[in-house]
Amino acid sequence: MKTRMAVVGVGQTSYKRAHTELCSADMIWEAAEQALDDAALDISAVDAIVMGVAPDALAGENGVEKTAIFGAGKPYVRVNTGGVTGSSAAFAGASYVGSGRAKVSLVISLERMGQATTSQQVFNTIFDPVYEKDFPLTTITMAALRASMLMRVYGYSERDWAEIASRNYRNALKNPLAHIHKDLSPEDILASPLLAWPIHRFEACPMSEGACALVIAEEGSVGDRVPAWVQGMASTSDAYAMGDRFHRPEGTLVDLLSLRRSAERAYADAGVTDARKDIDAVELYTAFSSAEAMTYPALGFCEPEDGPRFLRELFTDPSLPAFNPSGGPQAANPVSATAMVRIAEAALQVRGMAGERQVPDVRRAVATGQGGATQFSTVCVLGTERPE
Amino acid sequence: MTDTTELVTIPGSWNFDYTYFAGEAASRFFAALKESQQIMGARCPSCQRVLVPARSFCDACFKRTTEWVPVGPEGTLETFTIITAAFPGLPKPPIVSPT
Repeated sequence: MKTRMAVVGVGQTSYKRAHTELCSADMIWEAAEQALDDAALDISAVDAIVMGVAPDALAGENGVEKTAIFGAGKPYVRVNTGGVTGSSAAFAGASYVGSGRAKVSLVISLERMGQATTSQQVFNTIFDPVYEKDFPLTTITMAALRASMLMRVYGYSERDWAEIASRNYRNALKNPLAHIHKDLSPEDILASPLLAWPIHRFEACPMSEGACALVIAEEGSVGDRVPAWVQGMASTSDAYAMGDRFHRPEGTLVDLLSLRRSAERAYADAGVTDARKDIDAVELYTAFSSAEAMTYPALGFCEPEDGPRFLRELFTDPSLPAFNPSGGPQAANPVSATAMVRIAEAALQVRGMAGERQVPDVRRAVATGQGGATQFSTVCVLGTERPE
Repeated sequence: MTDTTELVTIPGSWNFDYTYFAGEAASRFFAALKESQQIMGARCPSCQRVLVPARSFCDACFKRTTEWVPVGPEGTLETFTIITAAFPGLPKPPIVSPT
């Protein structure tokens, strides 16, 4: 990475089912204002604005962000890459800075799905209408197909999915911004209704609204602000059809090639050689608890066949990185914003500003993004040390 | 705004109808299924894999597919799920548990 840059401002609304007190523009404004206040910068210091919003139908407003395009006269881009929209928007903002076309970029992502009375019906329109729609392939069944394959191929159990979800909910008890504040045990989760075997209701994410914003500044503009240095950022696409991702020489469906390739590239830039030792906190975009298992080998924590053992170690070995200290997407899933929230939370951890959910002595944190049936994966490495 | 201000909500509805165009490759795939009960795939001239259902190009190699081949009726069940409820906007699950 030629231009050194850092996240110097973070803004987040709270996340909940519906922000009935805020119009769409107000949600964007609130997150942006907080991020600029955190960075101690005025909007006049911003050279480019990038916003991320996923399908308009979730809000029922076309171009839902257009009413909040502030600072007339600045370059503006909107990004939509499904679930990975938030991190794609952040990466686009970072590209403005990296290319020298902006010293400071403001990136914002908005999820307004509280206005949809049937958001699940909107999600069910994102699949290929020719071969997939009548399956019925949905966000839930595509996760269930992977969860059942992880159990068959690598030996995970239904109990594993419940334990991951329980850890996420309990972490979220320390995150005042989270949508769900419930002290749920693995037993509580296994007792919740099945959505699509083996996935229980409490292993899925809620439908949340909220907005998130970041201020990204090049080295010369960081000044005395508290930086989360961007050490590595990589984004990788994969083939569209899940059926085409079986039996490839590099791995099968649950080996999450796009995330592995993003991690390899981001780690190379960041100088991460041993993920277990070099990383202190991990914020995952895993909309279902079972999806976490796919990240263990992809992020370099273990070999695929050792995944179930690594999960046990995560619960017993305090020297391993903290996973989802914010609670992750089980506790709040504002879809368009979720991948940016991961970067925001990683930045707060690195900057020592995560409040009660702060992990001690975080020197480096990793944030992932997943979108489009894991067709797109992003990995962002932030750290306290300025890159070489 | 004071605490007593009643928050205004305005009803809305999107109800659009569409006709999806499946394209030539999918149309030919469905025709073979209907007329000769054959599942057709398309071979990539570069990586040699057979894409099922047949498509007009290989997205891994960025090559147009040229050869169409029947793949036979057998397959391997790689993964599955059990759907316990209908999803809004999608067909009902094909089999309903007796309980």
